[in-house]
Amino acid sequence: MRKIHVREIQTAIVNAIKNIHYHIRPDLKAALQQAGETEASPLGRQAIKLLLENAKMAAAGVHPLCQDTGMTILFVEMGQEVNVIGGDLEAALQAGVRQATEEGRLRHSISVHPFKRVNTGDNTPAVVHYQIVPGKGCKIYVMAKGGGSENASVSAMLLPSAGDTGVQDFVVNAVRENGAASCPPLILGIGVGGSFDTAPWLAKKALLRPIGQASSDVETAELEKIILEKINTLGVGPQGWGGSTTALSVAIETAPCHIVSMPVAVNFECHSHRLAEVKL
Amino acid sequence: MSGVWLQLPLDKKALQDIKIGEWVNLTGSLYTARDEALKRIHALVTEGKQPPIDLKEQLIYFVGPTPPAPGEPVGSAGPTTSRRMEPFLPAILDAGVVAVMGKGPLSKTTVADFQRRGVIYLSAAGGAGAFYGAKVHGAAVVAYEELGPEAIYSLKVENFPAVVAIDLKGGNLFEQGPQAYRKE
Repeated sequence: MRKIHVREIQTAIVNAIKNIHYHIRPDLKAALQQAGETEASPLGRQAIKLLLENAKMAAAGVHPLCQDTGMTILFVEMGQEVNVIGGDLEAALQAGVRQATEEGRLRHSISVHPFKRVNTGDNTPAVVHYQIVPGKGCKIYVMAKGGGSENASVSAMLLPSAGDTGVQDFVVNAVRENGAASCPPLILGIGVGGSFDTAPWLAKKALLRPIGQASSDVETAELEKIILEKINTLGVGPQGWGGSTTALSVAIETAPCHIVSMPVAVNFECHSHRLAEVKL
Repeated sequence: MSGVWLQLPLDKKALQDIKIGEWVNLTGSLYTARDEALKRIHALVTEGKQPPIDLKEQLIYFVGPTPPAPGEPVGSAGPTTSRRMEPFLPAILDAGVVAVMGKGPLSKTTVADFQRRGVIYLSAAGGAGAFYGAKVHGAAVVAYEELGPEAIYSLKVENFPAVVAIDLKGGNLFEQGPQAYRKE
């Protein structure tokens, strides 16, 4: 068994969180730069230029990229040959979020209870998804998810007969309705299949893929392309001010599902896509 | 951004000629307020009581900044989603607010109400919190300190750019902007 101390995990989480709030991802920066050249609307091009300027300023380490420093989402992929030592894994992850919030001067954005809007005061708890995988590795995706784009996200149980065109319509309608309010240009994660709860999880997991990286499945990749093209004909544009760049990328993840079901979910992500991959 | 220079608090005459899609650069003092603070003001105004601050001729910015770095007035300070504030807007407009600033579209009802009252809506660039944070040169809590980032602050801003999204001529950028680029 490979041993990993919880302290090592906590330190890695702290560093990743502090980093994603001040440094734009290279794939996102490249996608924005490209959109800045192809965007049809002058106002849209100005908006994208402002976002790139924003990223430059955040890198100085004084002001985070966005004031909504989000809810922390962690996807832990733990090798089954790893023995976590030195304490409780979940406690270490939450302690990492707490420490990064303090040291990174992040906003406290989590309420204790959905009805009693009392702030937890330290951005915990993070939402943690665990997966046991073969091997000795430990990989943790660290995402800071903004509330505005999360609010635009939707799921539904479509009929199997709706097919892939049903999924296209569902996603395009969701963007038509809620795209402008969720900080476009958007990054869209789509989950199709599984059970009721699987689709939203897959949709979020789809956001972990590097921007512009197509699905390894040829048909799914084709559907991603079609949906992205359709979304960019809506005219919503950067900031919702009108334009040809409403989304930067669409990623779809699928899973087997019941013969009578077709669960579908779309997780909206704003252009301030704060995500890191930690390998231990 | 090149655009119309506007001094805060706003002179209503200066708002007459600005049009949707135009940049304005704000300089002066504005108030911040969002969900919880607006809910409280709404409750006060509904009961016929005075809000904790004088809102006449003021611009309200929907924002909840991050904690400041040492020596800085605020951290990141970009706009939050405006439509979440809609239930509370009539109350703050009754109290004298002449302009609001946030991000994203507002409902048809709100747009009509703004146009009837002669209120403008400025759309700041969502997700540009670092850029906007650096445009803030002073910050002081003026009400509801216990709300932390949701407290009402007076912010001193300089050359703070935003786009006019609802003007006094019946324009609504969130409708007309996308219309011009729709190719469905």
